[in-house]
Amino acid sequence: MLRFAACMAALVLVAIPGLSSRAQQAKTGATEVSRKVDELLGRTPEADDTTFFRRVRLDLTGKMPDAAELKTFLADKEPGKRGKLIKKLLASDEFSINWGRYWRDVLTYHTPASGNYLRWELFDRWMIEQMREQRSWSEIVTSLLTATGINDETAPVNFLTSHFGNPIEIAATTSRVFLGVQIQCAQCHDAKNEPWKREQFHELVAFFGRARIIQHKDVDGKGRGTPYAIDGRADGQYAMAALKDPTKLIPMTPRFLTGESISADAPDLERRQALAKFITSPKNPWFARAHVNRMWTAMMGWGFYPTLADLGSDVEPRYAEVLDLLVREWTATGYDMRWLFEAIASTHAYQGQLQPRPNSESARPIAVCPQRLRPEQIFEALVKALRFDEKDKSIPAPAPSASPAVSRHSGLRNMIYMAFKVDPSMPPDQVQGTIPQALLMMNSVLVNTYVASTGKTFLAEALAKKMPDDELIAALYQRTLARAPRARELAVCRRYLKSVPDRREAFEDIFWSLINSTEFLTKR
Amino acid sequence: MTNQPQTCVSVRMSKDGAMSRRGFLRWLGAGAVGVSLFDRLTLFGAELRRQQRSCILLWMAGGPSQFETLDPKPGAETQGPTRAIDTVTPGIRIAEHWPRLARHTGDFAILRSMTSREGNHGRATYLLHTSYAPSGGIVHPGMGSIVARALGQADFDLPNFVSIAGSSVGPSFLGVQHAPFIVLDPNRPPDNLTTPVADQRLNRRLNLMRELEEPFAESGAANQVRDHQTLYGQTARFVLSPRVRSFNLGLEPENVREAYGRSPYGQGCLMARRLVEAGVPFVEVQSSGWDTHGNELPSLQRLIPPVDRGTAALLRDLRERGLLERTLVIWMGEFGRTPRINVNAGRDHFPQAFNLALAGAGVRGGQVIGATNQLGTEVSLRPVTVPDLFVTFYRALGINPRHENQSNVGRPLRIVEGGNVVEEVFR
Repeated sequence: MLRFAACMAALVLVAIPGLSSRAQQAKTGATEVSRKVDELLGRTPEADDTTFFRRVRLDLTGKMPDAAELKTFLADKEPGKRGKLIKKLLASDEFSINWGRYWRDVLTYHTPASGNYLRWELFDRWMIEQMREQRSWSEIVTSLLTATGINDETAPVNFLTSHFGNPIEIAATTSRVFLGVQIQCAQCHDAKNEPWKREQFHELVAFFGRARIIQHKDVDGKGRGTPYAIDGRADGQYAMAALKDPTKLIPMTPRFLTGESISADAPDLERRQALAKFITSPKNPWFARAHVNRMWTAMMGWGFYPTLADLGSDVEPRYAEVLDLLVREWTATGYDMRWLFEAIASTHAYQGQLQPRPNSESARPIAVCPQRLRPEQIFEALVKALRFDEKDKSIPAPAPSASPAVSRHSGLRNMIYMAFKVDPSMPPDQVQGTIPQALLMMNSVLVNTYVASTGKTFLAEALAKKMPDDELIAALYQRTLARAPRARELAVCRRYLKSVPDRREAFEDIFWSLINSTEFLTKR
Repeated sequence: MTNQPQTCVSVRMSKDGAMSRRGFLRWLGAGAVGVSLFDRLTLFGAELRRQQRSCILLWMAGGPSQFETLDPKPGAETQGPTRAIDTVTPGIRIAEHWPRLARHTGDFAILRSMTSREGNHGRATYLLHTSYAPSGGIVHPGMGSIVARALGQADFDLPNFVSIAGSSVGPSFLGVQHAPFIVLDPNRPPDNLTTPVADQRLNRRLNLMRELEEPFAESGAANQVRDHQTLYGQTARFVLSPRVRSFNLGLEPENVREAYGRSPYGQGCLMARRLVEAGVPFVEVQSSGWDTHGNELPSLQRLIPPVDRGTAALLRDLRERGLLERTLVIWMGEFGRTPRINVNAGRDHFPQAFNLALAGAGVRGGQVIGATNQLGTEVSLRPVTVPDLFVTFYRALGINPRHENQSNVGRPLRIVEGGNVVEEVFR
């Protein structure tokens, strides 16, 4: 017992490297860079504190603000309070969970792998841990690319096993996510709209050519199923089929897009370590750009490039000078994940009033555009608004049984996650609502149990306390939309209360309408 | 194809239909039960159903082997242990695993000379749903969404595109109203389809929500609110529609359910028939597991019987109900499989030469189009490309494949670029 406690203490000490430990490198302060971005983008009217609070809380921690914390923030009269809030949220555990989940989904969204190939929970925990430990993006990517071992023991190896250890699939995701380049189109032919040759894709694949996937059928311990491992193959070369005669195979030398290569004799791990080095090198023009474009898109609702994987094409980015600046400064930090969040969240553009989404690639927005919340943000928002227990077994949680092959979450979280599941790499303007989502919000037992004025619900308590109309309307707005009702909205609600004879029923309807509104599902 | 008159019918219909259905909702909201309006809708529906074409896509996800389906090569070294059997059509032989389908060859045309260059599941699935190869910049709408938009009516109270046991390919820039409604398990009604409050109250709530949304729309989210309202309008019509019963297979007699087989695929086919009967223009039914890289034969022996049974029952049922002449049925996957049997006793991806089957909507059954060479390594007669195939689909459905949709990258995009109709299909 004592030994256990001592171990725990040691673990805690190791697990929390101070915020400052990575700050030793010569880097420009994030907010200093934000000011330079402001100069390049120009001014835009500032969003009010309430709007900013919801926005930054959702973006950084994935959760809606509480009424109490919002009140404290609004009461604070210090001019630097937004910056202080950003720092506080970045230091929270909720931040690590939120963005760990984001990356988990980015890396595993497409694979149809079964639970044996993808140990989802382990990978989920590992991704969150990387954020907690403040590992840089280059360290995380290196871990993913160079992992070796059994996938129920070594979490990052799941990146490789979830692609079935298939070098082509791994290389395709590697270039799409870590480089923002769709080079896999060149798999079968020279790409038409992009400058890649077919060889270049297959040379990239060759870095994974000696990684071998092994199924373990005889592992010790119960409930492990048949895990998969990635191990090195002693020899052999990845070969590309000739275009004219697919039976003719051409061995490929591992060569990165920038031209750097490693000997065709190199063993597996050396190949993958070399690739990790080439990819994360400041000399690689795509690594930092892809990440900056991705994070900017996630925060602003529009990207420098129209999609997250257009970097290899001849598409000209919007605000190239802003992108260049952020890329340069972020690279100088050694790819510090939090630094980039702070730099973006501190810009006037991020803190400005909402703008409509640009309707063409040439449009140049300078503020945040409306963006649909990600599935787990929606779940957290529902928990907060409806105040239910995630583990409540009395509420049915039907979720698709047929797909995907790996069960992700369980219970109510799984129900919401599956219904709103969307590829986080999809451009924000392509994310659309579906009929099953609307059905869930309109008709599910979950929503209708907790908007009810009976049972152990917020509304039942408020009505029992005889809360006056306006106060209750305001409380419902706070729970669902994290703001006070506008005068016009208040008037609509009051009129509705008058038109429906049963006051309890009328409040249920108001609550339901707010939960079902566009705004509830939207970052604004 | 002589379905020009239907165009003017549907224009008149949708105009009138739109008005009467709004009235229908209001009337439902008032809680009244009027017979005349319902009859009127039914009458229009019947008229429409007689005219309107539909499509059922039977999608074999993973890529079915041509050798073990409709293009066996008896005696060839590439064939493996599967034998060929005779069918009801003299001269047409298919793989022995399909005894039920062998009795229906008179209903469908076999196309043995499909050829493409996409050998990756994702890319080929995209290609065989959109007619375009993925190109990075633009996302093309799937065939289901295109058909839903062209043949569906804006105010139809069921989704115009239903995908069963799989997710299909989405609408892209055509918009949420043309997205597939996905039914993952045909053996149970879709979740949340019944409203916990009275219809009238649901309408009241929806009106309140719409009114409360206005200030948010004006604050920079007009497009989001518009899309959301469109979706809710569509969803509400769906929930309140008497036609929701089409999703309930419990209303079918036991012997019919049995005829289709109790597999998810078989019951999916039955649901597809019910939906087409109710006027849904596009239904996709998926069967997965066709990616047989290893131990192919035992996998196929498990996989094929339910598909054989379900597909044969569907063709028979559609014919008996007079629906086959207006319903295009497509059986296909994203590519075929290699002639060479690999070291794991499986076959790998092979887009160079593969096969598929077409029935209904003017397709002449009992024929084989195209051929592969003796070993099945390449197309030897009448190669058919993916654009050729898609213009043929759209011909059967009475949709102009050269119609240009405005895409999201600011340039118009034809439904299909290039390709020539495979005329033999209809002769």
